[in-house]
Amino acid sequence: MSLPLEQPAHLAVALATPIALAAVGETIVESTGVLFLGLEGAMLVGALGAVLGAHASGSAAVGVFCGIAAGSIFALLFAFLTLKLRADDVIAGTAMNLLAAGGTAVAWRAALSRAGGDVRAPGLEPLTVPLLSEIPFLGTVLFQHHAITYALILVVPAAGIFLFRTSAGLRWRAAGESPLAAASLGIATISVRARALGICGALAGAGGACLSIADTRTFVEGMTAGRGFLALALVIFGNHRPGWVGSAALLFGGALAAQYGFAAAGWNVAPEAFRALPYVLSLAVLALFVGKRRAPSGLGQGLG
Amino acid sequence: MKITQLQPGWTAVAALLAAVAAGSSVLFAAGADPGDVLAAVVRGAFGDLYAVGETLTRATPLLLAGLAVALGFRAGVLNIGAEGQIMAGAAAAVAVGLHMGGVPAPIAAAATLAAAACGGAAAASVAAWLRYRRSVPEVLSTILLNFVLLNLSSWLVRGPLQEAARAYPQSDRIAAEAMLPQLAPPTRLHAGFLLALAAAGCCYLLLFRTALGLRLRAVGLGVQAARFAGFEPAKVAFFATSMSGALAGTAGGVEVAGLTGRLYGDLSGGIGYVAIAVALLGRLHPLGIVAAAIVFGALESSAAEMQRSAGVSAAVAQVIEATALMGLLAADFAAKRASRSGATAESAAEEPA
Amino acid sequence: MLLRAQSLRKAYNGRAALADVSFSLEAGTSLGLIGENGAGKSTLVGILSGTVQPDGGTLEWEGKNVHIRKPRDAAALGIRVVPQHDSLIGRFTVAENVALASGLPAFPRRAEMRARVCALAAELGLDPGDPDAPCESLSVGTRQRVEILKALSRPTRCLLLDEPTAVLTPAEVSDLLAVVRRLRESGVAVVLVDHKLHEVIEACTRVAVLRRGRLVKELITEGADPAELSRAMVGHAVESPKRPPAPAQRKVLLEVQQLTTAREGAGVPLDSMTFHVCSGEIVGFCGVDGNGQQELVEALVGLRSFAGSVRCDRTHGVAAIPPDRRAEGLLAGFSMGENLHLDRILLDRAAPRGWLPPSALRDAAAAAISRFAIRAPGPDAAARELSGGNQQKIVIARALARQPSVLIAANPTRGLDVDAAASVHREILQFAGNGGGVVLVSPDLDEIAALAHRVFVLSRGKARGPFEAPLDERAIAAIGTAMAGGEFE
Repeated sequence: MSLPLEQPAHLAVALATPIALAAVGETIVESTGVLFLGLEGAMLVGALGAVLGAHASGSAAVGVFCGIAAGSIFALLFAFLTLKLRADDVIAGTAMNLLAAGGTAVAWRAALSRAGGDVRAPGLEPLTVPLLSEIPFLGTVLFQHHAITYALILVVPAAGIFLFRTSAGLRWRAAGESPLAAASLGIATISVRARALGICGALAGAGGACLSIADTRTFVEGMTAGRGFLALALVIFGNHRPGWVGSAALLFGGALAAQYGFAAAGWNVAPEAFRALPYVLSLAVLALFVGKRRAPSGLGQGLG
Repeated sequence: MKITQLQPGWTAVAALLAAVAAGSSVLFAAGADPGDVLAAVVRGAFGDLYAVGETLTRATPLLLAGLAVALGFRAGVLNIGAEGQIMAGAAAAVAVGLHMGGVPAPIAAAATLAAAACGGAAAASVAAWLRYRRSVPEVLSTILLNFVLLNLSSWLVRGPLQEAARAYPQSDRIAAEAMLPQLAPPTRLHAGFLLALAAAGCCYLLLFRTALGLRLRAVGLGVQAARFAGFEPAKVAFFATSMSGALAGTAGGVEVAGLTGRLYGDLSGGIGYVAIAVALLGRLHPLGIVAAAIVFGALESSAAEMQRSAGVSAAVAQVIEATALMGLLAADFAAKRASRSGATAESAAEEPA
Repeated sequence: MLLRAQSLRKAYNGRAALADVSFSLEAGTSLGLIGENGAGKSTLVGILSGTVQPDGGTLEWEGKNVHIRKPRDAAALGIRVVPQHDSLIGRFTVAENVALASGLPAFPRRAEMRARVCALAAELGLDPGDPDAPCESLSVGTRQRVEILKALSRPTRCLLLDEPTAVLTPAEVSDLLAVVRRLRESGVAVVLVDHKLHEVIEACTRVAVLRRGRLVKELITEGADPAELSRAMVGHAVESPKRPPAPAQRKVLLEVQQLTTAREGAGVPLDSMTFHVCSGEIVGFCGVDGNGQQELVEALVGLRSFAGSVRCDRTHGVAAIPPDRRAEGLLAGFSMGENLHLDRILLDRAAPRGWLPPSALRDAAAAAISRFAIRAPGPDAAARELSGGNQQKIVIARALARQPSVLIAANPTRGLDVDAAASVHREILQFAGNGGGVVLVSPDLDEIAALAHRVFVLSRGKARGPFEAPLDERAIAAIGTAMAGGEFE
């Protein structure tokens, strides 16, 4: 027996997971004052890393780990550009996205030709949580997913507690408000931002891994298709609060899930309309809410 | 570092050389014979008339889109949306160009390109409106619009604008009258390249020889000072965004009217993003952008050649472009550090702030 | 001996900011460090606080050689700095700002942080207001008290106060000087950087005078002769600007009635201001920054909508020296000629059909260089290559090029050295002498008192006064009270 909406809601959570992971990572990094425009690239690199890792090792878990590592290293390269070479966040982010798009394509084709044209990865299997999955509705919606989704369920509150309830979080946010003031407080802004970027890259990489080895079980060039940019919009929509950002991602997951609902109902709507929907939605949300939100004062301002 | 704080031009050259070196070493590491690769690069970029034509053909949309990005950046508008605006321009060009049969050729082509400019400007105006009415950062809105516009055009070529035969996701060819003349058959080089050069000249005059250009650059360098000057920064930036979109749209229109004749869903193919690298390597200066666009055109042309002969993926060009941009950031840092003991420190000493 | 500095040297680009400066500091004493803008005070503070590395010289701390390479090293020694411009995080509360400075447990609780601030405030006798208020909502004076609380929230051996009185009302200044005395008595070594002699004499045991990077005089405050110190500071007798007599024939150039602006962000709205400016007259607006100065200037030059009326005797008759030279006055990356055309009217005049030939820019720059004696590498030089005083001359040249009937001069000499300030004053007086009207907005009461014919005090968006020149002691006292927001008879 399944309640109506149970399947769509389950699907919404599944579709929201990669975006939410990236968005929570971006929330952390933006709280320290860095606009990580390379989020899209970090997801893409994570997706590829996961497939290659899983393919080489035969283990999905190793694949996820590789995806996380790839995303993290990618973000640290961005950290080098912006924190060490003092490059502008937007330019460095654009360069990183170009690099990710080109680099994953080159690497993927090289991997394909080496493997004789077929690289398949062992997929990440859904794990049903005993007992919890028995709860009506919520059990199906929340507790019949793969491990990355469960990790997300832990990461969202953890990020919220870290940023807003701990002294370290206060320091990180201080670095995001004003590097100058942070320096007077003995806070090493560069190291805070580099660590935040490492974490953000890891989360985005996990999100990318989720796209590749949990969903399609292979890599497709440009497979993130702008999800990283959606995550950027979600961070604003969620007002830089991990909890709200996570919930906003769920809302977007719902919008994405709706297209399957429409298709199942036999309605004839162009698939492009559905693919454009999240972007239109995020633009609308930004137009409505951006004025009421306040980003960290030092966001994207460099090291001042 | 602020985008509008420019470093000397040699850093751009150094960055390019470093990127090419890095790119070749990657290829070498990947097992390609460097001699083959080098030969393919030179052959592909400048080897013969065809190669030169191909280089300039590929440079054309990069030049126009690079000017678009630079015009925005100069006014402090971070238009990352050239990709979408190119598609909007191409779609508009096709929509008009299809109905140009029987119209005298120069008029038909002009109308087609004008439509393209309007299409791009319209797309950019959405971002400008979001920025100046709803304070949505244009960095984000232009990127998001890219995805909306790309989906829109892929819908157009499967729906309203699909060819009469309905075989492929593409439009019919626009009227022959609307096509731009070829410059050097059998190469693909078309009059769009001259148009792009003229656009660069116009941009130069606009930026550095007119009152409007001074206003535009003032807004880019400091909104508060521009406001105190009575320049109305929001209006200036709105204008710059639309102009930027118009140039990007023209890039799409020129691709259609000079090259493809049709609209494809992936016609822009990343030009809009590469244009950002072109604009920055060209130091946001129209003449620098001409040079950067030709270099990148050569790079892409030779990448295509390499794909044919050396079996190297054309995506390598993209990697080299990205590396060049990063190399530029590094070179700028070095240049800045070299001059650190200069004027800034002095004024800091005089005026502790 | 707590701290001994020997032969400190620092040069920027071959230009000495500090040359062979030696001094010493004992616990329980206070040293007043005075000098004009550009004398090297900030460089010295920077060296002691670890943000500037000296080119040569040594620092001894309790008899041992120390290297202060970064702010953290200074903090470890117990050196605390209250910077010239506060470094509070606007969005964080008072309690959070202080807690961040003093160190806090891994999972801090609000109540704990609040209690800590209150205890510290009571101990030091410094009132930071509501500990849960975000710092951006506080007045400049309160923010400075929070900054001092931040500094003293950890064990302190030496406290550096960098120009702390520049932004304070007279009452706040005397409170601050009292705190300095109390700290000294409790065994802290205090360094008070200042350029106002009487404050240093009031609060410090010793005074050291810096001029052009050299320590030219060091003496015990008690019995010191202020005139002698003043000469030592400047190096030569400074002609105080002579205000021309108030004009006899009173032609009103600017009439402002019931000027009221709407609240916008953190600013202070203007509240029904009424005043007029006559030909040849300088009207001063004195007040602590953030009491409506920005709003007043913007409303008068037409950048801000308002209720009420502002009438000038001709259209476009108002030109301004904006309050913030670096952000509003000019663009560092623009050439002099471009900066001279950073004005809609002038730009339209230079380019009637939209074309702006480079020769027009260069000619304007050359003309300004000779008319205002601007020291520049050449007519094509960028503004960033010029010193602050020469930059301000460009701003003034541009304002005067409009041939306005009224000149709004906001903070016209901020950050300038004596000579540059004097030449700015000369221009303003000359403009008034030729029949122009001047609105002089400045937090510096001395400047206002020397130049203005009539003085208003700006306090929370209201204009109090006027006080007629010359200002006697009672008027100065009343102005001080008004600046603090208090009432006067």
